[in-house]
Amino acid sequence: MLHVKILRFDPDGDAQERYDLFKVSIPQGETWTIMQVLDKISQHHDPSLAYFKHSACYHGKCRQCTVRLNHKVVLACQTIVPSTGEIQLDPVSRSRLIRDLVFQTF
Amino acid sequence: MILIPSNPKNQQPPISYEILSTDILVVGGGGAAVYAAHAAAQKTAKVLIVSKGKIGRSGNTIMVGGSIGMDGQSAYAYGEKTANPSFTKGVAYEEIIKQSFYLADQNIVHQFCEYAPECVKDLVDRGRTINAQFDFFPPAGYTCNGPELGRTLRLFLKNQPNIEMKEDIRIVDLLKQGKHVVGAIGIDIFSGVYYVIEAKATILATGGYQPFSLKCTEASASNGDGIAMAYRAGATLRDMEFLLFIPGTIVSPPHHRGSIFGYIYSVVSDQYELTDKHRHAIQIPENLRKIYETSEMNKLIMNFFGGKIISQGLGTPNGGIYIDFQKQSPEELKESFDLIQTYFKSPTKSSDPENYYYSGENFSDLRQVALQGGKWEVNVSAEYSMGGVWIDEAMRTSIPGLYAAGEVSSGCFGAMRIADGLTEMLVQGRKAGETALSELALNPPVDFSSEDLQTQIHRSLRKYDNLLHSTQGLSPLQLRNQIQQIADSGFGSFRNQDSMIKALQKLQQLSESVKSRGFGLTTHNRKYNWEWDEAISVLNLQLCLEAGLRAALMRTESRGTHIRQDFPQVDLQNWTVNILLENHAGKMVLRKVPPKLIHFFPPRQNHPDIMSYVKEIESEFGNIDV
Repeated sequence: MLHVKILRFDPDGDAQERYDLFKVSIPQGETWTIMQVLDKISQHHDPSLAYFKHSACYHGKCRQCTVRLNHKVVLACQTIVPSTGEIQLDPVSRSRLIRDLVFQTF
Repeated sequence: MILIPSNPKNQQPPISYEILSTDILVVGGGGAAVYAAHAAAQKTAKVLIVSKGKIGRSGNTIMVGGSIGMDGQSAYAYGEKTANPSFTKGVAYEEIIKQSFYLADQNIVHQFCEYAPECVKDLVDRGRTINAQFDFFPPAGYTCNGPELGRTLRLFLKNQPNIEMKEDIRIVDLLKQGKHVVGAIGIDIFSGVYYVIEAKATILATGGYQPFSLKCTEASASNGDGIAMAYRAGATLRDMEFLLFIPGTIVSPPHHRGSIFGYIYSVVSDQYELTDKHRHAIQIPENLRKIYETSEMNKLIMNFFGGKIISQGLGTPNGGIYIDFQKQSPEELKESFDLIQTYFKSPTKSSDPENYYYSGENFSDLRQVALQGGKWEVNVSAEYSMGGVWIDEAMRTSIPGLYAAGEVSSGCFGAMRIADGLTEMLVQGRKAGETALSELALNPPVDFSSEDLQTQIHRSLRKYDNLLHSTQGLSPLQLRNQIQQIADSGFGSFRNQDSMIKALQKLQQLSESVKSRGFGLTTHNRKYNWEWDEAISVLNLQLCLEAGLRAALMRTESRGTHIRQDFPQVDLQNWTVNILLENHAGKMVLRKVPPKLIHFFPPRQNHPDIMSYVKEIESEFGNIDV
């Protein structure tokens, strides 16, 4: 079981930031990317989670699904996560934060 | 900012929106949109290009791993010394018509061939100024990968004072004054702000549709947004039963799912076998082997014989086939992998085998599997829609004021595309921009304060705002899964009446369920609300799938990518017709119309199956090394 801590915050609506913890089961023998973990959470745990999705290519081409994995900036679609333990996901930019993991890009 | 006041009767909240005004609105962010905007802005017209993602960094344009070409005679004249000058425009024209199984509109194909040389050269020349890789290969193509193409396209919009760009805004509805399209409604995906866009002409360059669970397309692309919008506005659709299936799409491991790397490998190298679940070779008859090895008709051949194996219960655990390396030597495989890196430069290219990249994605693990004599599990996915909005050779749709270019349109490739979809997007984009510009003065003056237009605006905005605030009903994310399952079960590359009727019935039940129960969203925050966005997308996708299924049911023969198990014959005598679809007061009406046959006429003799037709037409072009 992978424990996934994700920052939840809407600068316009929330008084303060919080972290939600999701427990994601990755089938034995499979390797998942951060994007697949986020899709699983969105589909089965909390569809209100905001993460870069609306023009995500899933194959490292658009290079827009950046996220901080344990404070390090990575591409969500190209970064494999461990199947156990804990990871923390934060948005890349707080100053341009839209909601949760999504920040305004130009 | 304009405010629609709240409605106290039914407690509907107020809605605010912003107004944008332009001469020509271009909807999309790929090659067709960029070329359309560039062509439309050549005089004094104001052009607004609105894209659902980042221009040149979203949509299916960036998913490309392939080529972009013209005819060999033109390429030779441009100085490409290895071009084959006997591959003339005339040959290319004839080839496309025959590869389309005679369903392509011959005027549209003629325009394609005429515009291709300049449009492609313009792209390649600009790309080379930023060291984007476009390597020539005979008879007349350039290698091309998505990220490099996107980078090049953005150059066309630099220093263009007449062009305004708006990114991350999705267009949801078209606005009409009488019969004319006069603008559109948009929603900013990041902020949730509504836009009303006033435009004298609108060009759709929004891509095709792809309803299956295995995707090789970008997440927001291929929901059929433009096709559905145009249909709702009264435009005619054509050829919706024809989707181009690409075999060799990776199924497993999950982190590579949807990549077309398997197909790319199979084109570049002959160092592999196709095998079934027992790792027994899938037999392809000798007389089709050469075609398989030298023509992109291999998509159809691989699909045909792989599909037969799967339908016999010999498919792999995830319902596909294997690209198998059990008989290959590691040395020859290494050469093949190196060749792919040479063809398709990666932004993070490395000669380190631990970091083997293809176009941005690390395939070291799959390379390792191959070198150890293993196998890749692959299946077919849909990469391109031949069907879409009906257009003429000037890119006019059936509604005045509305034009369409690229994959959103139909007519260039009929039942099967072999020529480059990338070339199509450029030539049609440029033509659409030129036509919209030249016809600007023909459009009537528009009064946006008229009761009719105000009613349309209010109705559209209220519809999307109600969707955002809906609490009880279906999950849009789950609905997408259901639509995909329906498409997988009845609309795949092998079709028959029973499975299509069942799929259509399930789709109709789903549609009724959406109408009666509506959607239920878990958050009503308008900022980056993916459920809201999905609710809009799945309604478009549902409409396109219904159109595709109805047309596929109607076509009681096999042709191009439409392979019917119950009607295997290619019936050239009776079915050389396009199926048109129109919205008649909410009812989807289909009719058959023969394509205009100008220069090339189908033979009278039918073929027992698709492979028989493929053998005949490919043998005609055998002297040209394509």
